[in-house]
Amino acid sequence: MSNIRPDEVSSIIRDQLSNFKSESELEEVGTILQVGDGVARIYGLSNAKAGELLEFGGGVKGLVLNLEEDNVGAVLMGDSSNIKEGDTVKRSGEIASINVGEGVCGRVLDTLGNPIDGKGEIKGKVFSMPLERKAPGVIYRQPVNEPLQTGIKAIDSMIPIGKGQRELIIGDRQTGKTAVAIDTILNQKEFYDKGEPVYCIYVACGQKASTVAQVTNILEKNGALPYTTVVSSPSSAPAPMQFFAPFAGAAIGEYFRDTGRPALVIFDDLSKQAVSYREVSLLLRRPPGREAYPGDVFYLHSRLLERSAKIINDDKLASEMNDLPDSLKGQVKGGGSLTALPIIETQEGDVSAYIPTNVISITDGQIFLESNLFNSGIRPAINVGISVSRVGGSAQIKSMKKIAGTLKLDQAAFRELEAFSKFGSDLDAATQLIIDRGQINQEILKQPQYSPLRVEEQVAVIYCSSNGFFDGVDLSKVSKLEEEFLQYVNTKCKKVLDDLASGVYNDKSLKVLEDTAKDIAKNYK
Amino acid sequence: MKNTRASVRYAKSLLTLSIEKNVLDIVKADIDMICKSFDNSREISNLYLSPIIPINHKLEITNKIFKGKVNENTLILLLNLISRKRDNLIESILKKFNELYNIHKNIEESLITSTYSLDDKTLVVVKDFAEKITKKKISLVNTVDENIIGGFNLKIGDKMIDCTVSNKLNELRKKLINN
Repeated sequence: MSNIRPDEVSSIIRDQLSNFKSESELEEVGTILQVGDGVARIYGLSNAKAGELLEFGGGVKGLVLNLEEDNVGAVLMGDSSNIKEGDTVKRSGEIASINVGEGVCGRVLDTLGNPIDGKGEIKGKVFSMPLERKAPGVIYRQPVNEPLQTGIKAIDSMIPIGKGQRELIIGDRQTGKTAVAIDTILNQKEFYDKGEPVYCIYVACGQKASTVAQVTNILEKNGALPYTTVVSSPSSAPAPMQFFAPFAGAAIGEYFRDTGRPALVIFDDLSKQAVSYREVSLLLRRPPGREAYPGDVFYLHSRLLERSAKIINDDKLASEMNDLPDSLKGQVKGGGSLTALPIIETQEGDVSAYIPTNVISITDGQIFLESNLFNSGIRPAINVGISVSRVGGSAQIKSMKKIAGTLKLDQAAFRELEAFSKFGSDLDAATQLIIDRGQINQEILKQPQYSPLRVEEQVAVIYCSSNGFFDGVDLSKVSKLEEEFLQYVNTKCKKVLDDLASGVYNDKSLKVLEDTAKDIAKNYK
Repeated sequence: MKNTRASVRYAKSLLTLSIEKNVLDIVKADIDMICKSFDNSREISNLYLSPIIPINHKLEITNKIFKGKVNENTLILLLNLISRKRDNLIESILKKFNELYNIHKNIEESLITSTYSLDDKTLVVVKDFAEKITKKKISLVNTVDENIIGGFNLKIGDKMIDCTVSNKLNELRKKLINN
């Protein structure tokens, strides 16, 4: 305390006071008729626009959602306990937006873009990005043609995801949905280190605050935080904050997309978002529909997911993109992308419920996670039979495409015969081979959490297992074998791996892999 | 808020009828008078809100209070409302009538809050200013509120100019906290 000089303090305060300028302007105001449950009805505000931010007394922000004959319905984005009937509400004239810049990487933000990790203001230049924005039109897009590597063997080989794609992760509780998403973020470290980062945004919507803290911790520990932003609206946040959180995530992703860089946004999860949207809609007295969701719950998800796109690789055309925010004009570059991985939690595996069917139909494919697979030790618990990727195939690197084509069919045949073989009857040699190899493949496709593999490693392993070089290995030793094989290949056959990474697929390098695999497999029989 | 649609219908029909019969100003004076009596006496407003009092009693009381004091059209409206059991809407109908009257006459209601009651000269200046902004006729009311500490707060329709000292202090506080 001794080194604080009172005259210094007063000079600072005097400085602040002398800079204070206040001009009174003509403001548009309304009066609160009714407030409760986080929703306010306001009389006046005749010029208010839908989606506009309002200022309530005490600095609480609100958002106009309903424009009615004689009143305006708004949701409160903060603590409503100090707001009373008869208070005045000011129009702000701006639509809800969030400040985004390079400084958001490595930060934890709330829905309105305020940092909540205690690391101070967002550093560097920030641009104001609107939460609600129209998706880019057809002429500003291009087909998905680059892979987004998740680092998970089962996904990258059989359900490939491309940059700009929307791939749904769906499954019951406790099936590893978030784990798949987190692994995908962790795998982008390789590209960050290489200087071609894929910026990641993890949106936690209606999650436990402890889960969000845990995820942030894992990202930090694995060095993934420098290229990741976490948008957190835990279940304690008001419902409007929860259902806008994915929009905030999309707005952050759009900043990277429109400045010509790839971004990945994870919405965890959209079923909780739909629930909070239902809550707000019912409080605003919008008519309920199926399962009491409002009629526009489909539009809620479709307009959100439509914003992920691969932008055309042409700076001039991209700079003419529709609905560009003013702050971003002049900064726009082509070739960026926003990949979305929405997560949906099903109840008892029921994918024909309302929200799951909606989101399945919106996205470009889905990754199905099943609890019985999870419990039988197949982790990630991906059901390959019903998981699809509608556009990702064209984005796979050549070598992966070659080996994955047979893998998917082999595994399908294996599953069919496996069920059949349970009857215990004698099988002919060909059938037995399919079953044995299928089991090895199944073991190979298992992968522990937080250990993503590079694509060339995946190609090498899957090539060897699906071509039978690991045949006859004891099933319990497959993971050990894989580890040794990868270690060996990484140290002794670096050249082959580099070739595979660049898509080269020739007999010479395959021969090297074959010899290595057979050599190592001998020790595990 | 309840049944605003019905209130608008009743208010609108009273307005158009009085325009048709050329008694608009008289009816407006009636409405102002009724509004005042509602404000001054809780009994009257409670009378119409109560579902327990029988309709014929209500009719009788209404006749006794207002007959001869208000225009025939206004009285008929009141009696009609009672017999149709819409008398709980009376207050909101009065409010809506005033709104519609203001729109019809191109008047904007305006409220200036200050720490002491302003003299007529100042009020004329304020009125002229408000008329210039809105390009409408202004009916200006002056209220006194010492909580604003100093300055004034002018409200014109749903626009507001806040030049109060309390508001300035608030802004200053926000700024100091944010820095």
